[in-house]
Amino acid sequence: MEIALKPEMPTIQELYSNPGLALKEDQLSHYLNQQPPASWVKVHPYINGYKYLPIEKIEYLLKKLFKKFRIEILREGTAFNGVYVVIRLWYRDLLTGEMDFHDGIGAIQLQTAKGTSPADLANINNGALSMAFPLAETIAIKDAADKLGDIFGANLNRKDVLAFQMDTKLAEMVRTKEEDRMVRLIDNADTLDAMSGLKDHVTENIKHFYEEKWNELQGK
Amino acid sequence: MERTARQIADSFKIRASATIEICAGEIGLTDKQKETLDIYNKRISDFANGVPKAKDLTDKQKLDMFTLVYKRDNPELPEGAKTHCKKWLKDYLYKRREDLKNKYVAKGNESEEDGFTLMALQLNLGMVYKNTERRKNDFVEGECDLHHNRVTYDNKCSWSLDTFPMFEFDIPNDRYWWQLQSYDILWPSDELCLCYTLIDASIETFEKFVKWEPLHDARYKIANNMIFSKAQFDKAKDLFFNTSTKDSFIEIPESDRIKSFTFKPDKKAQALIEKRAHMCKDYIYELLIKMGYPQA
Repeated sequence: MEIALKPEMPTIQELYSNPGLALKEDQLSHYLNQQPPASWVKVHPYINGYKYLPIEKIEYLLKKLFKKFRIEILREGTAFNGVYVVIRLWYRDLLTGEMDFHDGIGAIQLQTAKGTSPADLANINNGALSMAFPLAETIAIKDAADKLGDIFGANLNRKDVLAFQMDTKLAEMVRTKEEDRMVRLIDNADTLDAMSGLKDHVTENIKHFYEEKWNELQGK
Repeated sequence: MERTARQIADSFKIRASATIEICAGEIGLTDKQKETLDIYNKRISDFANGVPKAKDLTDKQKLDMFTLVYKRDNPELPEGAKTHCKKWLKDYLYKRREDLKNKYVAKGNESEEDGFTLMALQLNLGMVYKNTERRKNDFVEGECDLHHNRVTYDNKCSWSLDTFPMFEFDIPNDRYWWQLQSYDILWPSDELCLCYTLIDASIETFEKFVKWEPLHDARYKIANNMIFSKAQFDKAKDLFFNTSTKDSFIEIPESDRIKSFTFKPDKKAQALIEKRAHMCKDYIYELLIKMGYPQA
């Protein structure tokens, strides 16, 4: 009977093609998943307990964090007794410098005369349409923005949310410039004496380089 | 509580990197002026002692002599140092400090650690770590790059091959000599070493410089002046100028990409740094008094 050996699996961190970039992305996520200042969070006047970030705070954060962003309206239309707008929020990715995007959708009912049913389209208020579309657009922007992270209000109304944790293994895996220097010095060392001088500076990340070179020199 | 003029003035310290701004220029009389004053004094003495043919000074010469004596007895900071003090005071009073940002500074920051690696390898330093401690005493402050085996090193990453002092045998810029003298006050050393390093531009930096250059041959030329190792050149070529037909790249070995200037600490220069720092404190004090700050 053949015994199937469990193959040596790489860690997830070892699978990243560019661990340095992955680490930076992780660090950016850390910032984007901070909670917004408590004083920014408002409670909706009509929806009980519904928390939100006002649009000016969202726009402030977009400007502050990404410096360049723009809104593209993908489509708009009517649904039931209201209107909807679908937008694409373009922002400049901090790490690549490329424009990236998230889509968002927003809808709002048309305002009808006081005391009438919201479904009563015969009683739509004057200007209801011109108010409704910009409002729907604003909601769509917020919807797109909160996909960027908690700081944009992503989890304000969710319960049992897992807080973002940085990948500590990845941080350990990415070699620092100092470790690169050590690798070069180990590579250049041609005697065991020279290697001994470097021993105190060996970190976990580069231990195997040191051991390989030590064994190589010992074998000479 | 408002601080007094003396308290503010006494908090002034020379930043090591700006030492030359304080120490350049003469205080008191120049050699030529000293010579002229000696001649005037001799003429007056000869005239008073009735030396034959000796003449008294003319009115114009007397006025000139008075000016020279005044200058000798009331030494003032050179204009450059005064300008530095005024700027320091603005920064201090209004908590503003202009961050120096340009492509040279950006590359220096980006390449700093690679520069240390080159130094560690080519100067046989063994493992070195960037110094992160900022030191200060009563009159000078700064953060040297490396202090290793009683030698203080300052690394300057050259922007390009054109600006790298490959064939210089004397320090190309006195500013850095003075900077290291200030560091020596804070990190007493047996030797000081100014080290120019020529480090490959990163792919990101190179991209910024060729972004608006559509011609691949022109990009090749830019790469030739910013990238010196074959591996990095090939990487840049693949990404930004793979249709270029040029083939003139010659790798510059690491041993040719470092130029160091070693010199001894100069105690006379360091005494001057201290003296000038105290003169700056007095000048700043005067400025504050004129602005109406309480004396003490």
